Amino acid sequence: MHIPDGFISIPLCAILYIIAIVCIYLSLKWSRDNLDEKYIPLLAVLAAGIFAIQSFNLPVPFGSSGHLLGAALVAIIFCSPYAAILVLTVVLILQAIFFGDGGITALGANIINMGVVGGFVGYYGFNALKDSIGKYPAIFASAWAACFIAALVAAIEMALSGTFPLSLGIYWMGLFHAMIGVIEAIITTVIIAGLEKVRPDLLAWNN
Amino acid sequence: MVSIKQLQQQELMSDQNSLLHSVDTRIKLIVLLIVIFYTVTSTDKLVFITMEVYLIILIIISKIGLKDALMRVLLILPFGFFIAIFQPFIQPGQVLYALPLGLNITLEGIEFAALLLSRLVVTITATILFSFITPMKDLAVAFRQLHMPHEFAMIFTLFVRFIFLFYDELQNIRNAQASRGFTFTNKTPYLWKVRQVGYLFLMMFIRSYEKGEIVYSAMASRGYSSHSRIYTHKTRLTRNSILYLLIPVIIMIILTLITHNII
Repeated sequence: MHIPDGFISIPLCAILYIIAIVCIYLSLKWSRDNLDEKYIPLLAVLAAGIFAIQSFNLPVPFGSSGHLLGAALVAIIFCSPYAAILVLTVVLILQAIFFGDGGITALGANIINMGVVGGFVGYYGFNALKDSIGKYPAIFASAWAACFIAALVAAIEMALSGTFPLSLGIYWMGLFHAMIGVIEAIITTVIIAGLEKVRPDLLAWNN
Repeated sequence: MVSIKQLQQQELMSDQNSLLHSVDTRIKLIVLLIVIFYTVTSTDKLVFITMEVYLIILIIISKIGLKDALMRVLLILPFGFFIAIFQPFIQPGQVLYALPLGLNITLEGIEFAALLLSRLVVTITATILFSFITPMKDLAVAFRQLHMPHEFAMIFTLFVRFIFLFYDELQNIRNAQASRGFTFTNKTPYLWKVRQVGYLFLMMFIRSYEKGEIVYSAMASRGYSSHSRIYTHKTRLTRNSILYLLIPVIIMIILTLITHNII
């Protein structure tokens, strides 16, 4: 899902960069308003943990593999999509600048797809579903949707840039990330269920 | 996704001494951004060939090993390659070959695939060069020197310090699991295996959160507060750094003049 350099048109890159910068500004403002001074080391070290977790590639059926995105996970734990945006932004910057995992001109797009869309769909999906289908099914569904919808947005961005036709992009990206999303959903649910048992104080909804 | 091997290789390569390793990180970052922006806005083969040759010369000067660098470029290519390889079949235009099942290979598709791949190779080479001559901690310092928002620079500074610790922790847990016979190829149910990985990540998550709390306590006991600022010393640009910035800029100006038939 990490879009490389040259695959998104420059005007679209510029627009997505501006939106990403606004979202990062709002995330910093949210953390100043809602978290105490310990949030800087906490989010930084948490981002390092998420970065390491992302290195674990899980085989998925049909011979492919995928790794955890973590946006829905962070958003649900902190009860805010802004936490996910902050954590994913530092992770994506490092991946782009040092490891070529996603392009530098496409960094705004990647932050929006994985951080903003992943965080917002993850958290608000969970919020909308938890009362109707229960807490853990809601976590599962929203984590899956966060991965799936983020991939669809990436496909739309590439279609707008003329790199890949919309129908094919939606089909292939959607199909692949529908499978990866199941892994994301299972792992997010296992982690949050585990936290509820061993460190319920870490879950913002308990505070 | 960054593997532990990639991380170790980056650390090993960037922790060396050469003409390019000593260049100011701010300049290296600015040059990286300029080169990538220039490449993705270009459509001329001459630009791609010249920039790639220039970057390869820099790799040789930096003594980081051309083979290692090119192997890394090949490892990063697949996603972009996958998108580019479809282009001859999906871009409308002059049909060169008509294949069964209504598939056509078009001239415009081949040209667009070549354009995407050329941009990809040059931008990835530039990134790998930057990565192999710049320690991660130096980038955090450069962010502060470039006046990034204080909170963001602080998060980034701490973030790069803890990455290696968590990779070690993850590797230790995976070794412990492997020593008990846990693999993805054995005959236990797939969902059970995914759940075990979930527990591994849960452990990692709790460890990183608790480490974050410990780090905060350690910082707070040394006087840290939300108003604290990390000291960043001012450094003057060396002649190497100025040349590192000027040479690619001059090359790009000349290439622009040539491609626009001005000279």
